[in-house]
Amino acid sequence: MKIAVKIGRALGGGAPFATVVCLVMYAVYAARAPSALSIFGITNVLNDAVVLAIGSAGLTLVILAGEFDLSGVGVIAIANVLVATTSGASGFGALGSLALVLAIGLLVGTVNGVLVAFFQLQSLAATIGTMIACEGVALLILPAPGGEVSDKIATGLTGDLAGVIPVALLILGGFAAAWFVFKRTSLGVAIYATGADAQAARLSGIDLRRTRLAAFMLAGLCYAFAGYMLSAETGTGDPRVSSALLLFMYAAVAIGGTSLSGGKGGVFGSLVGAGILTVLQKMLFALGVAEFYTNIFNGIVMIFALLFGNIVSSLAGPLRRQVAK
Amino acid sequence: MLFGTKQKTLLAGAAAMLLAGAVQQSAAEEPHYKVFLDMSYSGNIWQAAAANGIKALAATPPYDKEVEFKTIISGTDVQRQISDIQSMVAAGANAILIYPLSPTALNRVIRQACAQHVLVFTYDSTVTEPCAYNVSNITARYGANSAQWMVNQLGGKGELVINHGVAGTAVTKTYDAQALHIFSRYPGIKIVGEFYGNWNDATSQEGVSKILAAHPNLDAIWTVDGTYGSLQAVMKNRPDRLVTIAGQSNNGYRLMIADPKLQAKGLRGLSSSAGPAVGPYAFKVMMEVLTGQLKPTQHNIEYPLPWVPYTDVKLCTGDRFVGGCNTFPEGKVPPLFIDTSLNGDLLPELSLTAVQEGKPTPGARIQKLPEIHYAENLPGINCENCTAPPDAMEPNLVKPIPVPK
Repeated sequence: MKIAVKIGRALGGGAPFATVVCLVMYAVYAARAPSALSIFGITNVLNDAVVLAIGSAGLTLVILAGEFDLSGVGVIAIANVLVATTSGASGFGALGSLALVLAIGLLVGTVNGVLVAFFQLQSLAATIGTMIACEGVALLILPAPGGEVSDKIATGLTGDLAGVIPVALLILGGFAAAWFVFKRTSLGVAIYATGADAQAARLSGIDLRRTRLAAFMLAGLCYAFAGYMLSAETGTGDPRVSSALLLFMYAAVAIGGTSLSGGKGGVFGSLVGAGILTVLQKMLFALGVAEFYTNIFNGIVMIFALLFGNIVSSLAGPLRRQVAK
Repeated sequence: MLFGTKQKTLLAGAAAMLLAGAVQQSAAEEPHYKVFLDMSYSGNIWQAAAANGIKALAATPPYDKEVEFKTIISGTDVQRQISDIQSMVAAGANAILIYPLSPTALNRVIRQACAQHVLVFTYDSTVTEPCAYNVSNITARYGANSAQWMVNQLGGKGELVINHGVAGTAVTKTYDAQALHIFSRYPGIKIVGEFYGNWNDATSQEGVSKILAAHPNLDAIWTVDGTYGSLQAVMKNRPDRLVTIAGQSNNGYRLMIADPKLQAKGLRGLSSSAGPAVGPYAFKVMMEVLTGQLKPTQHNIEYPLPWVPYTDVKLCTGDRFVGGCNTFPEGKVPPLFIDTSLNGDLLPELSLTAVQEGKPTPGARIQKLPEIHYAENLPGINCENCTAPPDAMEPNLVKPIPVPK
């Protein structure tokens, strides 16, 4: 029992349940569509999931710190059009454009963080502002879909290493590993503490403003990288292509077991949450669910994932206290 | 006991599978095609009319027997559309008809589909991937033609509002550039206001109302869609002096521009823009290519631009567009019904119920298409690294009037 709880804790909140759901759904999908088990099929699913996963990972950090952030889709849009306009032969190349978009992400994250942590603006309102501004900037950079993403990015990040290991898997694995290290650092602990109970955190010596600022900055970096991956997957720029992601990012975070009121959950769960939303679409297709029913099932599965996640964590709660004794 | 039941179920399942296999084999003697429609979103009159027309054709003989047809709604998320196209290819699609959410972002997945010998068609919106077929009227110069028509009606002078549509789309960029090119040629045309009406009637009505308050002498409104809402704003705020207007083809709008009482108050309307019938038309072209009846030499195919100035509105008596009629009488359809959902010449198989409910017209049979017309190149719209014809910004349906001195 002790070990199970430990594993559960290591994965963070509702994540174990979400992982099981994701694997079961993938099994159903694979049973109906055998290509799901080929390297090609697996790579496709991972590529479909990776943008949402990384975007939701960034969002999770802000939500854990007890704030909201809507600017993600704006940063993704800017990153996408920048990669499409600067990564080509006449631009800065693959690494140069990566550095550029990360810098932009960091900048937008810093603006968000300063507005929320230092000027005490409501995060929801402040980040609506930055989101709209970012989408405007994206339209200025690229007024209509177009541009070209360097082949190094487009084929390099969406293929397989040695034909066996999907690059997207390495990236997602890297994010998960970084998270398990990060959550134990003093900043990681401070983010949890700030989101769980800001007053208690302040009394125990945590600098709330610095913590919130750091959460927004890290989130900005994640959004920028998500935009970079979106460019790799689509091979071009489109200033409007990311706007539909916003709700899915929040859905991925919630399904992954992170409490939208802060302090509970984790990035790993959001990565899995993004996986669930991606595999769900594949599974419903494989089951032959067509048209409007897809949306209905999407909604129902999301509600069930949330419900069961809640039940699992409320069952695990008393157990954990027992172990703690 | 439990084991026994399980084994029985397994046996029954195996038998059912064998049976299904046998049935499939006998069905395989007829030509049989797996065809998918990937639409973007529903709940929008335009999208629904296009999808219904396609569904009705897929159920019209002989396609009702030959085609296994399925509709998938990808919503507005391009990642989802990419995922769905991958799934369609994996499911053994022979042909996929797409309403593409982006002219460029689907190119990679479309290339994957083409590599698996899947026929990929788009309708209305286009993609720049050369292996896909685009069926659209985006190349038919709506922006230049409608702007020139308005200038001619206005005698080359007047105060004008531009209702842009949706920002960041290829359609908006193309049509806006054409229209501004024409308007800027006539110094008497003054653009007093512009806004993004998002192809939406409510947004457009609000936008025009605001501008009208500041510019009470407004003479004209140029739109791509949201036309009915734009005109409603003038009817509400300035009912005795109407405007010259160009845009969509809602039935209520066509009835208004044909009304002599409104014309006496100055209403001069043009009904044009993209029609939902481009969807079913693209389906027919795709099926002719799939069945080997048609071998297009180019991949960009133009759907003729709907073009009904107020003088050409003609009421229909039945529920089909026959004998050159193009509008339904009041009460027959809701005012926002889009008349360009039907096309009497290219899609005689479709009736009103077909595009409203997606059901085949009783007794109809798929007719052979008249000759198709290839579209011009438009860089970033239907091709990459290509050049547009030198006169791409000029009207080709309307003769320009000289610039007034």
